[in-house]
Amino acid sequence: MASLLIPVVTGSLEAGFNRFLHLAPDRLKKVQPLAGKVLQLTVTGLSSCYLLFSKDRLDVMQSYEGQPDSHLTLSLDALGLLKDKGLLMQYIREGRIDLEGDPQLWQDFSALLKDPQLDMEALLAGYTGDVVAHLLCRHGRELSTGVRNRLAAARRHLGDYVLEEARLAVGPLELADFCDQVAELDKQLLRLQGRLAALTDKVDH
Amino acid sequence: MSEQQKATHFGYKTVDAEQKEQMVASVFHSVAAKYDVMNDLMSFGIHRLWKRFTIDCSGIRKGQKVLDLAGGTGDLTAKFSRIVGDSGQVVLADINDSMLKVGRDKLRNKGLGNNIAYVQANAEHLPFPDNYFDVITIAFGLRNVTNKDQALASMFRVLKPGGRLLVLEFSKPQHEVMSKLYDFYSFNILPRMGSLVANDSDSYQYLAESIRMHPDQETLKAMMEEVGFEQTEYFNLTDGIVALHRGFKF
Repeated sequence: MASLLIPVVTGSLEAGFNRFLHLAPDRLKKVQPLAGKVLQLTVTGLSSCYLLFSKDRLDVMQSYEGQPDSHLTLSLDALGLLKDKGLLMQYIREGRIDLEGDPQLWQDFSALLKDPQLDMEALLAGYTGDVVAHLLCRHGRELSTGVRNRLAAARRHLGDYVLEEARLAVGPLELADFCDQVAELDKQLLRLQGRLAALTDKVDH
Repeated sequence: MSEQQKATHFGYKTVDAEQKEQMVASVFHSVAAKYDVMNDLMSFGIHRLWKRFTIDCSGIRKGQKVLDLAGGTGDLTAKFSRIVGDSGQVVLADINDSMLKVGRDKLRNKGLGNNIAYVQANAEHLPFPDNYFDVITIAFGLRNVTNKDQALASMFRVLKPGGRLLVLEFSKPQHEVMSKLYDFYSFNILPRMGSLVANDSDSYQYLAESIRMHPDQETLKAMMEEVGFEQTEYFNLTDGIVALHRGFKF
């Protein structure tokens, strides 16, 4: 079973990406510069996969014995950086991403990932019909807003409890006063150091 | 060839070698139209993962020549065609013209075809020059071949030195429990599925029987070594229900 785990992952990635690619016609135009290219993506400590582009789709492979056109190595938490085409070169210079080969290919790939504004309603309509898709999306939005509001309220209540009732932490005003006191102490210490230095100077001469 | 040598098996039946070819052809003429649907249904879609694993083990790259033998409806060919690109070539070969037609239509509808050739060929007498292909695959086809040794020798001949053969085929489950479950599924559920979906239970009864008559993992490995393949190994998939055999020609 373990030998089929990687095909499951690469197959899911491939199916998801190709679905994403065909959702908007302009994405198919953006994939043209990558057609025929092979990119190797290595996630440090995890795995490596090969992205083989053709004119209208991507094939993801676990192994490829040819020479990839470009090889990018990055950590798992840096995967999100790929979405930002403009900053890609900066990340490479900073050493957050390691690149061998043509950087332009990754910029083209990054451009593909950018702007993933999915119209869920239009997407669902293909399967469920317009009315059901509209209702599902409206209720989804309402649910999402409700959950966000409840989370914000819960956070406020927890904050009040910790600060006011349980007195487990200080409030913002107390914290600001404490910081002022520390700053004042710092100034006094500096003055004392100055006076000590002057006195030491006098004794020496 | 003696009378005994001429006899072979068609599922659990013993038939003449010539008769087997016709009987297998008749099975595939019958199932060609529903082949893909039935594959998904029977394997719960897992055949896609077995094929994906095969492609990962093929070492295929741009510009290479691939023979997808008994390629049927072209699942492997579609992927190979994109990987080898315009500078490479994929030959989809099948002995059965119905399967070949379904495969050709499917691949053309996918917009593939520039680098694909379709050849009706018998695996025992491949109509290609010596040392021609970089990779040969035969997925779920070898068990239907009458003379497997001759077919393996023919594949060895047309493979380039350094090339590799991949045989994806049903095999023997590795655990007793899985074996029992698999037998129950193959002989009780599979033919009924075939009857319901493809209106053809006999072909799927043959499928179950032919799998049991096919050589197990070690026997097939030995057969490959016998005709000259080296560094031969196999990978059991789904507990050995299917095995991928790989051998190199040097």
